[in-house]
Amino acid sequence: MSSVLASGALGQLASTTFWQLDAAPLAALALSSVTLAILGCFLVLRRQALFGDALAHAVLPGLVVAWLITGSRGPLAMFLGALGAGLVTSALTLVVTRYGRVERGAALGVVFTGLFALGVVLIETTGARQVDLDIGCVLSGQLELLVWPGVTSARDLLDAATWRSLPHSVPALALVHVLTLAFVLGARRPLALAIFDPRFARSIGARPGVCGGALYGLVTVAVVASFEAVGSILVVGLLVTPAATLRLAAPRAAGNLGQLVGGAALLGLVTALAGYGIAVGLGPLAGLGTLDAAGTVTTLGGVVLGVVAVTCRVRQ
Amino acid sequence: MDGLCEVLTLRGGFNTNVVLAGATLLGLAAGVVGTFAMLRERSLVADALSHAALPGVAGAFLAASAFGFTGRSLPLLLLGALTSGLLAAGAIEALTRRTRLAADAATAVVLASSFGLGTVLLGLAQRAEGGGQAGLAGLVFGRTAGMLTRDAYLMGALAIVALAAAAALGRAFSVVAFNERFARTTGLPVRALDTALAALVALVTLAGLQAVGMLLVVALLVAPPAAARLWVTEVRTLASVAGALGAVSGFVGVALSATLPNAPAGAVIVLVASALFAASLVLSPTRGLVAVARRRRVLAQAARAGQPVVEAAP
Repeated sequence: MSSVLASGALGQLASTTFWQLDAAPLAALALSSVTLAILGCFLVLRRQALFGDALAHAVLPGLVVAWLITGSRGPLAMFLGALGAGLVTSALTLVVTRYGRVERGAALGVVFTGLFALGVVLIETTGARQVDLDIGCVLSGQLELLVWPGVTSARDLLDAATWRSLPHSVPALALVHVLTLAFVLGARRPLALAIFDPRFARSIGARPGVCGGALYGLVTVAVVASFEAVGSILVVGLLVTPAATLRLAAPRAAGNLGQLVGGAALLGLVTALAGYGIAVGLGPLAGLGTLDAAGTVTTLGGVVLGVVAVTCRVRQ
Repeated sequence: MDGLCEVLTLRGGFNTNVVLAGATLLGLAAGVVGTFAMLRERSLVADALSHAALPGVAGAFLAASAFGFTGRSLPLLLLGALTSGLLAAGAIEALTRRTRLAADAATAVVLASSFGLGTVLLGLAQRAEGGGQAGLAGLVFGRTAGMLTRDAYLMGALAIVALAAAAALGRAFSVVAFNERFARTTGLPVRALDTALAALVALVTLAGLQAVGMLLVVALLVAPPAAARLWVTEVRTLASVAGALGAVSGFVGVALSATLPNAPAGAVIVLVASALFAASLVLSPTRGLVAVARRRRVLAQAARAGQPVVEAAP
């Protein structure tokens, strides 16, 4: 894979390898980082930061069931299976939290580990193992596999045929991105009410449950769409780290929902692109070869948060 | 079915019995330790610890290879996993205690970044040498085939240690969980106790590392205590019931997986634990879905009949 940083970003724009190997991963990263950072703010505020991690495991039985029903491992079947399992996870967590009266973390833990175990057993007993449907395919990133063969230079972008060979997850992520922006901008007042003061919302006739449900539905769609493109561990990191970092670095600004969401989106984007640059640019320079980009981005996010946590504490 | 009876009545042969005993002990220890983790609202710390094992394992492998040792030594890899797990637990504690982050956000951040670091290191390890690194990831994700007696001995030994520590510190743990301020004024070392609890969780997670799989051992720490909480409230009883439910999950899970073709033991154990939780959620006489629905109906009838409505505390 070519390096973006090593020989200058501008020079790279002309190179074929950049367009074929780096353009689609960068686009997927940019789209999913902004989408997930925005939605992650709401999860952090609702103290459901581990929801993404729970989904990452809980989608497994959905994938197997979708394969059993359709007999295909195609992206649409997998997406629908994962989406179904994700919605089941949300609903079950809600039931367990409300009626089981267990702490939210424990409720989430019971639901997602149970579903994950169900997925593992289904894989082993239904013969899904033989079609290469394994735990790895949901747990490891596929960012490096987003190859765009039909493009050789920037000039090709004007040609419609070029776009046909674009990996399908990039337009899918773009669609989810637009949906997210529309929802968060369009429903920002009811959303803020539902999160900060659901009782007041109910008393003035609003339906905070509906708004919260829509939010979780959207999170599930965004997370599932991102799994395939960037890998599940990156999804967990991109969801939570920007919002959490911002709460540490600028607590006052993070108290304002609009500033928190905007800032997290920006921070998520910068971290994602910088992490990718480190993976494909600095890695080879340091003699390590290209690094795992999903891992580099999440690690970078954690390091930034750690530095912020230490320095902000000193300042206090 | 005959096979299942045979295994359940300990007539399945020596190796099967060793595995049964190991899994039962692990379930018992996980249930007891998990109870205190749940009361302290640290249930999902185990989730972060299990993910944090990956950088430890891969890092230990890389370090050993760099110094010319063979990277495949199991004790070394486990030591790496334990070290990184404890570092992650420390990071979560520090973030929760000293910053404005809530426990869930701190856990998620540490989980994601340590696992991300793990994938980077694993990638390097896979490139470093041909073949030597095979199975490194399997160490973390668990064996999907049957359990070995070697796993069972390790599991049993670690579980006994964790159990003894939990029994000794249980009282102090529950004081800290229910009233941290009181614990502090009576001179209990709150921070040390929290660290000890995290270390116990790490120990149980490590015990289940190879046999159950690190991602699934989380379930053993979470589901039995959550199920027990639906039946009983007093802490000592809670820990005992949770331990018993965990032990039953381990025992029945191993027995089932020994008789079903291709069923991986770890996942079956977790499914049994989840089924016990689901049954408790429906059937518990005070908090179960059935009991709640019945109570609502009685109250609604009383209200319609114009009688005074007094709800008994569940």
